[in-house]
Amino acid sequence: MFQNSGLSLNQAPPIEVVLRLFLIGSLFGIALSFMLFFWHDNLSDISHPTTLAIVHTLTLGVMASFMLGALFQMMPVLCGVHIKAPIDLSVRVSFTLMFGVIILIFAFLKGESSLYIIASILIAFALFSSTFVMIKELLKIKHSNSSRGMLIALSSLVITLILALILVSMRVGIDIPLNYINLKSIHFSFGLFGWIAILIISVSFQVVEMFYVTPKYSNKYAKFTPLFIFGLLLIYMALQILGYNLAKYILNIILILLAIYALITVDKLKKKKRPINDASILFWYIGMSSLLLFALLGFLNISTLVTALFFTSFALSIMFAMSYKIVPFLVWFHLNAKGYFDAPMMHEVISPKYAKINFYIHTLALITTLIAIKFSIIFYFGSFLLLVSFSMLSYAIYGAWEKYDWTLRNGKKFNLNIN
Amino acid sequence: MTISNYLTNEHRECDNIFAQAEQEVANGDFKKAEESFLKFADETLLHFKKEEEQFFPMFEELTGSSDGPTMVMKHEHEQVRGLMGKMAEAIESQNRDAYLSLAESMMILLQQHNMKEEQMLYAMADRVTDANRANELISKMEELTL
Repeated sequence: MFQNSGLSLNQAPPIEVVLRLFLIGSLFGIALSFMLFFWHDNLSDISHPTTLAIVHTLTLGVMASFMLGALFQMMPVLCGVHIKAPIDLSVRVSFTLMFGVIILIFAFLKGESSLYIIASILIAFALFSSTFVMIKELLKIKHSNSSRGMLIALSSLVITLILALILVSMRVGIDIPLNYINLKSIHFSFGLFGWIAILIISVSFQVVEMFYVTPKYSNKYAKFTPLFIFGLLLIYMALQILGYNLAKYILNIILILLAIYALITVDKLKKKKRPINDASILFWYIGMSSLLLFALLGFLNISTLVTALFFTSFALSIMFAMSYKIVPFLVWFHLNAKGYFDAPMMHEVISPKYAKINFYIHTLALITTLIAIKFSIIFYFGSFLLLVSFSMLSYAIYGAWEKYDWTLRNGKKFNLNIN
Repeated sequence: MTISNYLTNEHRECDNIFAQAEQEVANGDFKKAEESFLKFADETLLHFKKEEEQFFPMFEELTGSSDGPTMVMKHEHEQVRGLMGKMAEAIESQNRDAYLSLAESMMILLQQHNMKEEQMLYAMADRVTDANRANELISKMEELTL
């Protein structure tokens, strides 16, 4: 009965499923910092090979890794979805995605067709195989607002990927009678708004309330916002393909929706019942402020680079917020569930002070990078701070995994099989 | 009142007392914090008792399943009870950092648990019980004490 109605109450997936993807994502963050350090001169040219390499390291290497890791964890827990053989699937996805992104970076730099083809096969395999399993399972359940949003976000990822494959085909010389520039705009829009923004928004409908004990988002708002954004994206795609100028007005409506979401979320966070002001909540505030500024500057059509930076700040800040909450909880939760009575507490897994230092460095990195758009010499300092920030996150995730393994080997355990 | 409303209100009430105790520990007022924590523990344990002695058996009878979701919920109740003991020790020894760290785990554990109950078990119970059966269950739960 419960399986049929999607009400599986299975426990969380094995911890390594999530930690591996989070660690890969944060290591790509380190790579991204080096790329910004050396290649920041051409950032304003979105078609430049180094800019394309930077953008895809950020969106695929960092963001997709974190978001898939979060989905592996949240789908069983928040949606009651059972993913079969999660370890096998996550290992396949992690490594094919990782090698695919590395090869894609070289493909952009070298411009060689064979590299584009290999990278596309690997990335498509990683993302299609995971989204296929997730979408298939999500289609079986009775939806909450979050699970419906996750389904929409995953559908957007599929559209983004299909468009990417068409773009790569055109790039390697296959003649497809479509406008490359228009397709690229649709690819960006589905990737940024449909995949990244809708996923964060949908997950937030449950986790903001759960982590900070805030008032609930209104049911109608939570139900219709992801659907509305996705519907607008479909209209945008149709208008772009047909070559209508109205397309930019559709994007402006999406920006207004994102600004409203940011304001509502800040209001919820302000009304939280818990007294905590830890790093994760500060990351949420920075993330929501960045989203608001992104929407405002995008609406006013001000500098693409500045608006892109604010969107990046939004997505990265929420990823840091989630990591600093989820990683220590999972270590404690899994060890506790296995009966280890000396399982480290959350604050022993990652100290709140460490997370707060990371928050300040992350914020400083964003501010410095923003200033560097005007004074490019500061980019060296901004990318150095970004390097420190991602290194701290990588170390925190690796350290948490180490503590988990150490306790498994050396910890004292209740005998759960008493006869 | 529906079963869902009744039990969900109890979750919210426990959240409020929990947040109050956490605030008092954060302020270093352990005398008040102890009172609030004890209130939170009493309310939560009574809520668990209502579920385990009245709600879950009815749910199992209606759904014909005693080894599925209710078993998972009971296991999570045990986890919460264990954590509660550690929090009581931290408050007794006035260990602010330990309490706040345990509170963090407790909050996520409880919220995750509450969400499953509210979205799955309570919602399903509302769908399969009529008003009379729901009122009868709520009356029985009201009679229980710790």
